[in-house]
Amino acid sequence: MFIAAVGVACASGVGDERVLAQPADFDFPSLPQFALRRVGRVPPFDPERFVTQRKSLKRMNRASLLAVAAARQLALPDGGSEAGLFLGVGMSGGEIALLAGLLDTSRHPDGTLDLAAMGREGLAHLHPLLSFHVLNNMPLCHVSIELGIGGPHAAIHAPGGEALQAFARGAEAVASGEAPWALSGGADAPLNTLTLALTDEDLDRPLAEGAAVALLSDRGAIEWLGLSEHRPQSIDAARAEVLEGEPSRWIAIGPALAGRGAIPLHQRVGETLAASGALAVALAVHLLRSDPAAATVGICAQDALGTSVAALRRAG
Amino acid sequence: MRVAITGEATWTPDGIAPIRRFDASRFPVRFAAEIEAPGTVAMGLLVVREALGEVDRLRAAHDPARIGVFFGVEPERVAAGDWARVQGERRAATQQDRAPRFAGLLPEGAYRRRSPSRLTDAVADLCGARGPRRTLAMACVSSAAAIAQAYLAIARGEITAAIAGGAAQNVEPLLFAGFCLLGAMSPSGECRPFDGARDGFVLGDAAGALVLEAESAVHSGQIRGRLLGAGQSLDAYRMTDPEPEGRGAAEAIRAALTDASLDPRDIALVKAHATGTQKNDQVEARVIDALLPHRPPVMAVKGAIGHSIAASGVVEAIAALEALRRGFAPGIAGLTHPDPSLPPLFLAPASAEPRTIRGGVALCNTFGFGGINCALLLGAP
Repeated sequence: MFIAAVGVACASGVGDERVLAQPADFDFPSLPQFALRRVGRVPPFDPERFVTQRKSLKRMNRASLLAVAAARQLALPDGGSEAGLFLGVGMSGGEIALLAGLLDTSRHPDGTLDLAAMGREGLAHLHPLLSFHVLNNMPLCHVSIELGIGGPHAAIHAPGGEALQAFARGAEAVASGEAPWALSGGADAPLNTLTLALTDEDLDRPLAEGAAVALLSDRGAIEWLGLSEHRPQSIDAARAEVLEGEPSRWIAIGPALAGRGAIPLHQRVGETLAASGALAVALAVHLLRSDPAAATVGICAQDALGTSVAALRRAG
Repeated sequence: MRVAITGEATWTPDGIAPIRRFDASRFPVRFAAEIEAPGTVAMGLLVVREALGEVDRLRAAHDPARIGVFFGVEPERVAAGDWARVQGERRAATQQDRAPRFAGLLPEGAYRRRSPSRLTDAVADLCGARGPRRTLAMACVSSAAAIAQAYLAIARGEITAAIAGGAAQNVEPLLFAGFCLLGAMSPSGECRPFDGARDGFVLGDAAGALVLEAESAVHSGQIRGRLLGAGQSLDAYRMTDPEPEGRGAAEAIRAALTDASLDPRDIALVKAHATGTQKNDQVEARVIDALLPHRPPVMAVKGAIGHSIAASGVVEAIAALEALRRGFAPGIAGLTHPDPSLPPLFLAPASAEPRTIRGGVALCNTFGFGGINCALLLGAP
């Protein structure tokens, strides 16, 4: 299975995989809630460039917008109504501004919630489009609607490298004939008040928003070799399931691979949570296209449960 | 590879009642189908234990690396009180012209505890599965999609066994408030699928799990049913409404039939998604009527147990499987006067005589917000 093209929206910019050659700016100064942090925000862009109808922007949360922006970079073949769509999604939806009116009218003086007041007055202050912003599968729905993708699909919860599963599933769908081609990727947008508050205690790297979406088909310049999903297992055991020998380059999601010279993904794009696996694939595609010494790239995602490894190579 | 169902379990509410979990006395909707349980992980683990019988059963019969776990779960909701604390600090910071201080405001590890993959991981650890783990966060379609993914993985020979299901504890103030605002919930507290007086769904909690195994790996006495096919589609239409002609839903059903190499006339029972909302029931009735003119009996369960969102696909599929095994379709709780404006389906109220099922295949529809469709085909043992 092949990756024909990749679209990216991350702290380095919006475009194809080449934007990953540009350094990301993690010192984003202008939002007061980020004053104590280094964060990775997608550089300003005109969202209307990426949607078919301006009014649909009102229903899009940030992760959905980034997913649509990334997917719009791709020139899609015909047959979208049967094509597959597989995205890693996070749990960062919901700007607190959508709830501010409800919460302000539903708090006791001591700050605790007054449910009677919420029912009596608060609901009238609730943002009417709240549900469109908080449901986690919204990036999947918006990409489907904006790009006319109607075939097999999945929104895979992907707090770490699990968006790689979206590529494995997309490759299966095309290989089996379930879909003529597929989009696989991931998106997350954690730079909102609640996620910042929830993650305040334990992040040692810049929290960042991002998305990447790839076109998988039976032809292309980059070959997707597979994903080892069995856990727990060693890096070498996982690598051996998808690639003979060491890859030319390693990309690490999460902890760096000691002694293997891996590129830590978060140094390039920040901690992008559910978008990590997809941005790692985009970075792999960039390396395979731009670095003559990179013939194969391994992506390693490690978490408390074990290791998974994906591999790609330049097609002959 | 044929896929057998060798275990199943559900945890569903006793019925619909005034909300007990929080003070909803001033909300425009005050009814729900609640389960008192300490969260989705506990609910999910309980049904998995029950479905397996013995937790080591799969590990003894299969290579652990070829046992997968596929669950449809939404993230744990952020407690309304936590939202209130964050908003309070945000307001205070604005008034005092300083950056907000969130550190220590919320319980430590709160972000990680929200993760729906906690349940998938816990199930894998419980039964010793070392194969693929997938957590599907797809709102109403989550657990049906999880079953579809597990089915495909076994049917294609990637794995030989899987546990698939979903769990959801939905009845909490902010989600409830959001659905109130959308006007999707029944103010009367009665979900009336396909009824002329239908006015929305009733939110509920539930959990369910299926044990799936390659049929070649089990003996006939273990088979409680079969998964014959699965089909998925996206409407690619609008965020707010289903595609009026039901093209996406019909495509999912056709894809499932093609996958199973079955003819529409083979379908002997339809388990409808049937939320009891005006548009959804109208579109679904149109699709069933158009694709299945031989009019198999239609069942729907949300009038009895509410709409459990992420868990609805699995618990309703298990209800359909039980109907297949018994050979009759239960009447539809909440239905008293079928909507005369809908295409004529083979419906029956709960008080009616059970309808005989003439065949061994059930179609299970699950449709979701944003135009997500999943159709499963179940077979009798």
